[in-house]
Amino acid sequence: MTFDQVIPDFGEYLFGGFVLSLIRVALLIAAGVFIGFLVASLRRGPVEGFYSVAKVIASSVNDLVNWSLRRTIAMASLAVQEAIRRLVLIVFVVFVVILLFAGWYLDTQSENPAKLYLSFVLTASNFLVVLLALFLSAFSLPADIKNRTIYTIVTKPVRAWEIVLGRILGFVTVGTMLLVPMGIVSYFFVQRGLSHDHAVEQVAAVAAGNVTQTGETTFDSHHRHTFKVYDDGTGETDVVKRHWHTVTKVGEGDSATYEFGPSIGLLQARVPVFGGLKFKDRAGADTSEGINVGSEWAYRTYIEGGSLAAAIWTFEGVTPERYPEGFDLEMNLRVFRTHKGDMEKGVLGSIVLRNPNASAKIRRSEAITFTAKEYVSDKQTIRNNIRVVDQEDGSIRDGQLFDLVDDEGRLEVWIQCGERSQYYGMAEKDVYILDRDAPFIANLAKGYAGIWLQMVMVTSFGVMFSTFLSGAVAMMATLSSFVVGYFSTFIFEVATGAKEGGGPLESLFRIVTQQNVQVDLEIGKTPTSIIQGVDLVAMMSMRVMTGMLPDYANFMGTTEYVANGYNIDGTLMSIQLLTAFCYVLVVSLVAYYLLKTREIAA
Amino acid sequence: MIQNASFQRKVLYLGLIALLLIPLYVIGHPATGDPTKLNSSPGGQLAQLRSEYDLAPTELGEIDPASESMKLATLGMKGIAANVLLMKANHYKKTEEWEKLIGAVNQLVKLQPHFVKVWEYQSHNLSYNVSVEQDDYKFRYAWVKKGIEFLTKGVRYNRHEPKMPWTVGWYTGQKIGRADEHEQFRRLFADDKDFHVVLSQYVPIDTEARGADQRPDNWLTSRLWYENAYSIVETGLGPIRGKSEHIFYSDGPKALMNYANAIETEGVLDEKAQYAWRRAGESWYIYGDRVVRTSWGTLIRLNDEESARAEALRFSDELDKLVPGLRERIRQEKIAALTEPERVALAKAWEEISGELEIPRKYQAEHKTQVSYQEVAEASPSDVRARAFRLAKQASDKETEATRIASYRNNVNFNYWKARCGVEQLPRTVNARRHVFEAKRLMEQASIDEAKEEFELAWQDWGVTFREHRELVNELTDDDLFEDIQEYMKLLGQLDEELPPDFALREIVSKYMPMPASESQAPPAEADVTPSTPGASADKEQSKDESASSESEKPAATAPTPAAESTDAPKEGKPAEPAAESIPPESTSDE
Repeated sequence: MTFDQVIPDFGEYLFGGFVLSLIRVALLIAAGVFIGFLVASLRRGPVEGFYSVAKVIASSVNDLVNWSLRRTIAMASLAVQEAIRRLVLIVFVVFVVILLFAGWYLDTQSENPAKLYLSFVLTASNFLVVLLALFLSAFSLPADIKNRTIYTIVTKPVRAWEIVLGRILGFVTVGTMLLVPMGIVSYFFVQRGLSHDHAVEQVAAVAAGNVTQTGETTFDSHHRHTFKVYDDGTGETDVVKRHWHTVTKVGEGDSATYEFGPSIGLLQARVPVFGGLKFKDRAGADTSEGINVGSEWAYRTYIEGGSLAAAIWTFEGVTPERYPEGFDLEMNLRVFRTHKGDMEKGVLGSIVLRNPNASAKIRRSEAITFTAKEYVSDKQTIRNNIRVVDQEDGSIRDGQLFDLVDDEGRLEVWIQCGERSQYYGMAEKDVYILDRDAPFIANLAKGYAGIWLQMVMVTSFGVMFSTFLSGAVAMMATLSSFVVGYFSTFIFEVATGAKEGGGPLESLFRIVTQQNVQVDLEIGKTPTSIIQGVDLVAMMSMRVMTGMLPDYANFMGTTEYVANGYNIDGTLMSIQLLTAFCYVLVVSLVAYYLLKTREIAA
Repeated sequence: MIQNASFQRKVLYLGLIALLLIPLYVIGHPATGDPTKLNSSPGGQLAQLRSEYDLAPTELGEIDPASESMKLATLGMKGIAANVLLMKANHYKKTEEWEKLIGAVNQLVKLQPHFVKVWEYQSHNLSYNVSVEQDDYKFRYAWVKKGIEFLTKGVRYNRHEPKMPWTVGWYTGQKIGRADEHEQFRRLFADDKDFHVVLSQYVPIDTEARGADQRPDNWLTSRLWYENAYSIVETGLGPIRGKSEHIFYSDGPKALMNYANAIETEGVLDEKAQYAWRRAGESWYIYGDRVVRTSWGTLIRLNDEESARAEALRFSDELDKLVPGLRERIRQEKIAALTEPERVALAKAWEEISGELEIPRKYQAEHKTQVSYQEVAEASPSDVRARAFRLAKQASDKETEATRIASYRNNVNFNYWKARCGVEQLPRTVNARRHVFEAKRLMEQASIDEAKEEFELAWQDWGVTFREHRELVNELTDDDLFEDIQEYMKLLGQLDEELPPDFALREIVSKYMPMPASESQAPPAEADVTPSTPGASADKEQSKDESASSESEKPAATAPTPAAESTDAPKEGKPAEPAAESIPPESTSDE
């Protein structure tokens, strides 16, 4: 997994992006009021216009002040009943059917089966629940208006605000009623899919240290392990497909049997603590990034082996209270060889812990050598008692990890590649301190919470569109808002010209005429100007659209954390929660005004 | 009344639907039962057409419910879905998300299970491109294996496509056996009993692919896959696509040679190696006897070159006997018609030719003075002209056939492999190779003197082999042996010695390491014993490089290559080769 999504600090988000967004929304509202005033002025004159706008605002304030929770809940319960009447629970049946046939489509031979299963259940739940929200919310109000059943409600003392909120609340309740069992079923589906047993296929007695037996398990669930048993009768298997098992020897001699425990390491929620990354080049000078070894994907950069080049992570909050015994450093480095070297051996490197404080008495630890492993999380345990280099006489002696931490709790981790003409590749999030393992079930619940937030937002948009559009059109509008929101990064790149090939019209023209995206259009200046002029308007509106709609892909991204075994960060959850709340609030407000206008018209 | 009308309308619609279903059933109902038996139905017209043109999925290979339901789920937008998946696969490859990549390609082939190129492209992606991204050789092997396993699934879905098993054979042989990590890969393959179980579902790996150590060998396994591909073509199930027949059929026997070569490299230098080469030689002979179609539309057998040439010579002799002296007379007339400078150039031997003008002049003169069989027949007296024409045509046809066979032989390096199999199965050759192997082992242990002794024993054996098989000198003086000689020279360098004057393989050294002019002696008559095809050495290099795309080995589509056209004419630009070849093994350098 790559952590290319930058999670801002919550304070930064709140007082930066969030407040800015609120100001934008306020400006939009002001602009809406002003436009309303202009329209009313044109129709009835400025005084009358002002009066009607003021009246609408006053009645809105009245609606808000006199908002009744009881009436809203009554509306919500009506929505729930309506949804149940429309057999929405069938969605759950569909989900179960999908799980039943999942084996047809899942690559059970995957090297990371947990990721596969989790991605599958989370994606299936996500799309099903979003679809459900789409259909429920978009068709409800238009059907009521069409059947005139809405009059039985609006003739009662129910406010438009309560109708809107009631619908949203009702549909969200239905969605939640479906999502919770989906989550529970998913958990057991994943558990069942991943659980497997091994038996012994062959075992041999050895005498190597405290290892008394080594052996091989049977081939089950597309893999087998080798294992070793210690003199105390316990043992362990090697790590295959990201998990291992405990081994217990029962009995002695020829009658000894071996029992394998359940798989360990498949379902986890690691809590990483990331640091900031900077580099030294081959001459030892500071640089912001390493070398590109010719990879199209510039996520990682490389440092040269056998030189002064180094990748330096600075971790904060490294305190004895937090890590009394030391910590585990997890690494996901890449290796790039310019010559074959020894095929059967990995490329050697070193880790040095350094004190960022230049005047500290002890500046660095003794180098800890390691062999780089690709595509697996390589864990290096850093104990509290380590060997350090005395700055004064250069001697190496026993020391403490926290001798290398400065007063602000910062610690530098220097990684260097030891072999000439070989390279290590890394990105900032490739090396982190493994803080702890969080409970997997809680992490799965957080993943489902991300799905729930999407459902809430889609429902709000659906209800909003359904206040002024017919059912099918409202559904299409909601779907479009979801699709545009989901692909907002891509659309934004197109809108800002960051993607090659021009705007929508130019791209269409290139596709039809099969023109390369990297050359100018071959149709003359005037037609090119016309196409690009039209595109300019389209691209501006695309920019506005992407700015207004929620980035659903970002919300879906949280499920990646669960699938890859990383804990979903609390900050990320808070940001998403706040973002979703704001969208729901603003969209509900718009829906309220739209419904109010519609009521007047009716 | 209104309700009644609505009901009637519905009944009418249902009736119309039912009516339309009848013709649809008549033309579309599927075939039932075994077509060779009674009581079976060939199906409706559409079903028959599908069957005739191999369009029905049942005709193409296995039907997978997952694949079918996935195609249905795309609601007719299979193409778009496949494009999206392909783009995703490319993205995952770029971002090194290998598990997602394999997931995407697995879904992709479920949508397009009968699209052979998708299987080929994506399996290559896994076995070659993803594999090479891994630093650990075990991971590399795992990805090579994933590509092969992926492709074997494709074999099930495309049982009429010889390209599929052929590609599995290619990966199993070439990728495992020729990668930089081939030593490790071959070892891992031999130990990979779980993979053997998978492969044994398709090929009899347990019984027919066991190597010298009785464990499955990748080259022998690859041969079994090639044989699968051949049987698809031979039974008429599917045609060879994008590959000439002689290239296509050469890979099976070559896998046997690669096997023999591999076990020798790994130190199996006994009767097992001899047997492996003998078996390879037999297989090569059988291959040479296979009738293959040429790009001219004629059928040839690679073994027939010599007999075709002999036949051509016989007809030519008969023609000369029929009209004695006529050919020479026509030639003299042609010489008389040449310009003076051309005549001068023609009279000179090629070694005497110099200057930018004289070389083309010599070519022109030779070309102008060539006498064709047709010309001889046309100039024959009227009483024998009919017979002369017949003989001229027969001689010309046989000559063309021989030339074409020679051209096709060159494509697969036929003569080289034939000679190699012949020599390598000799006990003395295996012995020589064992001495070289031992010498290299001793060199690694820094036992220089012992290593030198082993090398010398090897050169003695090689010297005898070369003396007894003079006809093989040109074919076997390849880099296989020269690399060993270089090792020996390196060793001599460490001892501050030079190559001894009586070095048995000096001829080979001279060929690959041109010596100063003083060392190059004039060629004795022996050089004529083994005339070689100019440019053959370069061709050999290219053809030996198995990793090169086999598509590049196609013969010229319209005309024979110049090298194949005239096999005994020396060519410009290759002056060093005849000179180097002409140095006899006995020649000394320091005299």
